[in-house]
Amino acid sequence: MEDHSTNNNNSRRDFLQKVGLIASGTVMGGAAMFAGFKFETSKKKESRIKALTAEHQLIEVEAEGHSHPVEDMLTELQLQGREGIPDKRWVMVIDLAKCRNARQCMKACQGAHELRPEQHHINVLQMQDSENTAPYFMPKPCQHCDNPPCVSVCPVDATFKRPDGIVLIDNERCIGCRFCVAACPYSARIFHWNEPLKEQEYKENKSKYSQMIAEGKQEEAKELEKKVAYDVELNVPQRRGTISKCLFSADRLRVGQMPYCVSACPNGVYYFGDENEDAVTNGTTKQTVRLSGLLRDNAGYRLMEELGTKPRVYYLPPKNRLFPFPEETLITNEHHS
Amino acid sequence: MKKGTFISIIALISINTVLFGQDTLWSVPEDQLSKAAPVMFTGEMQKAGEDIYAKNCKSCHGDMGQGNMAKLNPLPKDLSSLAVSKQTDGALHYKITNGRGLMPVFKNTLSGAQIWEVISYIRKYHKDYKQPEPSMVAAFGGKTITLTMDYLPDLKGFKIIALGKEKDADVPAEGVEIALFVKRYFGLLKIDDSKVTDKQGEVFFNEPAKLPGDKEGNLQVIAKVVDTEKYGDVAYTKEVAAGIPTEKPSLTENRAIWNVGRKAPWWVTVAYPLTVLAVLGTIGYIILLLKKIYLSGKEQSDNLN
Repeated sequence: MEDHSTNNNNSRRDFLQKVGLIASGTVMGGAAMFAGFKFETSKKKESRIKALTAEHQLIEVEAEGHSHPVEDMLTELQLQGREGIPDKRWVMVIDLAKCRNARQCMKACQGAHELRPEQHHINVLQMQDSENTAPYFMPKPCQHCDNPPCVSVCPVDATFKRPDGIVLIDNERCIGCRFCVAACPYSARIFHWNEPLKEQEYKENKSKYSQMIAEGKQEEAKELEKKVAYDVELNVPQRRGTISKCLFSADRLRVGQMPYCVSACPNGVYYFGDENEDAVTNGTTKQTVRLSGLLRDNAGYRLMEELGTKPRVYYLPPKNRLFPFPEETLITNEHHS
Repeated sequence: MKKGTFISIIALISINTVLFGQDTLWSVPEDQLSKAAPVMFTGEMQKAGEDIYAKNCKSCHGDMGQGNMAKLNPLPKDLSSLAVSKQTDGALHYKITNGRGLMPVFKNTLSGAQIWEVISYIRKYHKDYKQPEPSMVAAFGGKTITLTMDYLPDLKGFKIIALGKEKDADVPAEGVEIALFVKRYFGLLKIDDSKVTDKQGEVFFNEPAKLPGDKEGNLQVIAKVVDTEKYGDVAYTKEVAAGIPTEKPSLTENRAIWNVGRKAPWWVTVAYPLTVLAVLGTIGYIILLLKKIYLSGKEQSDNLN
């Protein structure tokens, strides 16, 4: 022992001092860990926990079997809405020469998406580019840009671009920050400042639905579920405090039908189709033509090309308009956003 | 002043008629008015017409005689009404084919034969209606013709042969107008103008120039007889590799849509933290160097003292 201590140049006192330090450190550390462990286990033993329901109500439930919170789960509709339709690149062509302000596109759109009369996914504007040029009507939906500024600024991944080109908004994720409204150069987005048009109906349906579930009427509930469930491809039910926008009627495209606005037009203004097929179909006459040919022969163009947003909506110039434009007062008096 | 008001009223009226000119008479060309159906209406035709009506007409015109039309301006007509029953078959056929205002054009969605089926269904509800003599030309004994199509890659085109039945034997059908289409997502894309078959019952179409097909370049090509009222709906569909193979990347690839970490490519995920670390490391290194300089300076001044 003596040899050892002298060889290592350590005195007995030093050794005892170190042992004492380590021992007391271990005891204290152990005690702290034990206290922490005890605290954690006591937390788990609590019999009731607080939870947030899908209807945004805070409720208390039995902790048993609920120890794992639900992960970021998307509904089937939301998933399918994000995936889009494979091998497609939707494109719209608007022939300004044919638009005579029938406003059927706006009506059909507002009906389908349950919007108030002053809310527009698509709006028909009255335009006059300069003093000496002819005025014309211009339907303006979302341009579904390939380089969408609105998507780049969304902090919560609520608005997104799909593989088939459509820009959608998920109202379940939207936090209402309105960055996208500010970013969009085409003013294509609207914000629900007030209760949506059919809020009362949504509420009634929801309570009816939960009642049916409670009573075990599964089949009837399933029927109602279509109205209650949020469809990201339709933005219905609409929700206050979130953004809504033109969706190219993604729900209709899925079943092989053209968008609401396109099929409602009585004047043959709209063409809709798939860029990959190089074909667009007129919503009024249902005549299918080559997209490349249509744009080439009519000098098609896109809005604000200089911004590099790469819109998926093309315009054909208002050449040889076939109708007289209303009184000048209409242009000067009406306010356009 | 008075003159001005008068002119503006006239202008307003004319604008109104142009925009909503639905109340004026819907004129049908003379030769179309007297047009009659190619065959006598049958129960089968009415049944087929009922299905077509349910899919294409009911959403606006409502159920027959129920008065549940869609609330549009102008209000769609109840097709069982007297105003409709008084019109000739030709007039109805013309109106359905060509449409007007909110009434859609059906010439690209329904064939002539299908429109006759709808009319046969509508006529069921007209009590005093008596069908005029059919205009059917007894082509090939009233039997339909058949089409076949071959794709000839060497000639870059399609050969279509029309055969008609005569005394139980197939004979070439001459003088049949045929149109060629390619199936697209929302409708049929017409290729070239329609052509008439020669003595051999043959007709040749050039393949469409640079038309995108699917991944293998396949196109669904459809040959159709144009005069459906005479021959019925005759069509032949074939999938051929006459298109350009198309497989474009999805629009979310190679795009600067990296607003959330999940969508960012791996190299951004790696490069960003590394850059931050490099910057912080450089600053730290500089501070270390400054400390060394300070210490060595202090040492020297201590030595001097």
